[in-house]
Amino acid sequence: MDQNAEFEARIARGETIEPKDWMPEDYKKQLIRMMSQHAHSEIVGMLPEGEWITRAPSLRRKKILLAKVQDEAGHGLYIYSGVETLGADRDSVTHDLLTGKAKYSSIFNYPTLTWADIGVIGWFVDGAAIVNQTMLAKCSYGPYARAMVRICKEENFHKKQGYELVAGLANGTKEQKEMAQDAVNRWWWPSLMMFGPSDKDSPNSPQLMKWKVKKESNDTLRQRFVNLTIPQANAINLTIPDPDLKFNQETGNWDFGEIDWTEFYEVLKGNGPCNKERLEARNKAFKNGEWVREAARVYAEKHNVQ
Amino acid sequence: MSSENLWEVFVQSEDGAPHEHAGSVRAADRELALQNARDVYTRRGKVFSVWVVRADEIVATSPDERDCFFDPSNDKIYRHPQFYKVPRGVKGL
Amino acid sequence: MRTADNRLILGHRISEWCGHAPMLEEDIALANIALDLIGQASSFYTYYGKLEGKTEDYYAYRRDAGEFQCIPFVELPRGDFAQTIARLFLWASFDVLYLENLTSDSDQEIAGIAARSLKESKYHLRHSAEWVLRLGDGTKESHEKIQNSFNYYWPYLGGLISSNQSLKGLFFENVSKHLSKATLKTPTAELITSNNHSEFLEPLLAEMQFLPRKYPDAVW
Repeated sequence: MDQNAEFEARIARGETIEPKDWMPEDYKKQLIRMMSQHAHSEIVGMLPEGEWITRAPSLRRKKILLAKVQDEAGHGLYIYSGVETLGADRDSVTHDLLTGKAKYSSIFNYPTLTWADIGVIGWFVDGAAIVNQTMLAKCSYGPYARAMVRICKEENFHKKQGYELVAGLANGTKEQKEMAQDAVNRWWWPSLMMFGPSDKDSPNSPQLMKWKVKKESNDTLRQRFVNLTIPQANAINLTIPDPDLKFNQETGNWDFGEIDWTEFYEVLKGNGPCNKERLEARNKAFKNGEWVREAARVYAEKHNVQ
Repeated sequence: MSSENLWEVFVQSEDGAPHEHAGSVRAADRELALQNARDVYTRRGKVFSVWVVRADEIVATSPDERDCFFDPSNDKIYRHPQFYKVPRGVKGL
Repeated sequence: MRTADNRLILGHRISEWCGHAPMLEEDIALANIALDLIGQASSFYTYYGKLEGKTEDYYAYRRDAGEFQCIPFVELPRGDFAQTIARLFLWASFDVLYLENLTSDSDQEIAGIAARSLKESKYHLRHSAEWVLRLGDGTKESHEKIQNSFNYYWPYLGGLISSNQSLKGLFFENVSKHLSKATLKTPTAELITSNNHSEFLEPLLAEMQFLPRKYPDAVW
């Protein structure tokens, strides 16, 4: 049997592919692309929420938010650690992010305008991420799957704290309720776009599903997220900004309106509200840290502890 | 080559448990590797001990050698206690 | 109350790093330290709150700068990584001694908070001390930066030790021993004894307190 057929047979049997196993170049390439994109999203995702750590309105909320944003750095690192197993080292992967060559989730190019955004991000954005990551926890590449298991365990609190925060606002003063509804209005559609293009326009999906990197399609996952979220919104009397939203008795799904894909591709191309700021912030952190990393390197050599 | 070394991280969750592989960290030296491992991999739950090992110091079997490395030990049934017959009624063996 | 306010304000300063540290691993480390300090402030506020019938958030969010008792040493801006490390090292070197003392306080609850905080502070000291070595004995640039940072913070130590003169000797001895290990000079500048707030506290509080101040009836 040639290597490729053997590989496909292993995938078909549901075996896990490990770093030293033979794998097609394209499988490796796609994984590096997908995993680094995922890791970058965690890291860039720290920025919009990080803005509010110093402004959180109670000590409890401040600790929660700080721990959550910190987790995002941790989750980025778990996935970078997985990318390293494919021979793509951190410097080169970081370089691709900083130069704008690599993509990250477009959702983080939207601004956080009010405190309610912090709650809605946890509820929608982390909620959507959990749907996606639960699927990836069964992915065929061992290090990625294991990183996802670890992340899923930790990330449930992210969604829960977000929902709790929003529920509090929805039951609060008139201003708080308006703040919550406004944030729901702004984040709903971008959150749906997080699952990527519709199946018919998703170029990489069929191959990724064949390799069992992805086990379900973008549209299936998106529908699952909608079905989970609508009852949660209803329970706290917030309105999802979609006039076409309707429960379908036959399929048991919530049918929803058409997504504005022009906006999606504009943000993806770098024309989103905060693309420039996010990359600048990452570049600045990296550049300002150069002398620190250099000092640590020189010290390690001097003292032979590297 | 990345500017900082790659270290594999092993975490022991409680006294008596084995150290299990958790992932890796980048760090310029041993002490920073240990501190990074602590901060990245032990933010929750019980932890008893952490090891870090330079990734390039780990020696591992290769997938091609799986057959000759591991299969031979898989058919030596005399290594298992179920292989042996004992007269009925005899206990404590 | 002074020790609680110091912890909150220093924790706030360190939390500003989140998302901007020199390496991602350090982002996590600094966030941990900020969480520890804010948690310690929380514990002390809760303790005073029980005596005075107030919540922890009252102390953090409803007091004006004039009512805060923190010292300028913790109010100064976070600066660059060298400044952050120098301040944290000085803080933790002192705090370990301070908390060790406090664990034998006659008030059981205070002693308990001190014992829990001490574990955290010992790690802050280890983390910052290791970085002092690397920056001090690293490159010429890092050496200059960390030396300047120590020079900058040194006079403000006056505020830190003013009410704990008995720890002063051991504190300076420990610090200067470590600085020389890191090839650094122990600054000789005179200490400032006044604890008047710096100009940096007011804007910090304006940012931290803006939501509860803007919506005084809301619960978050």
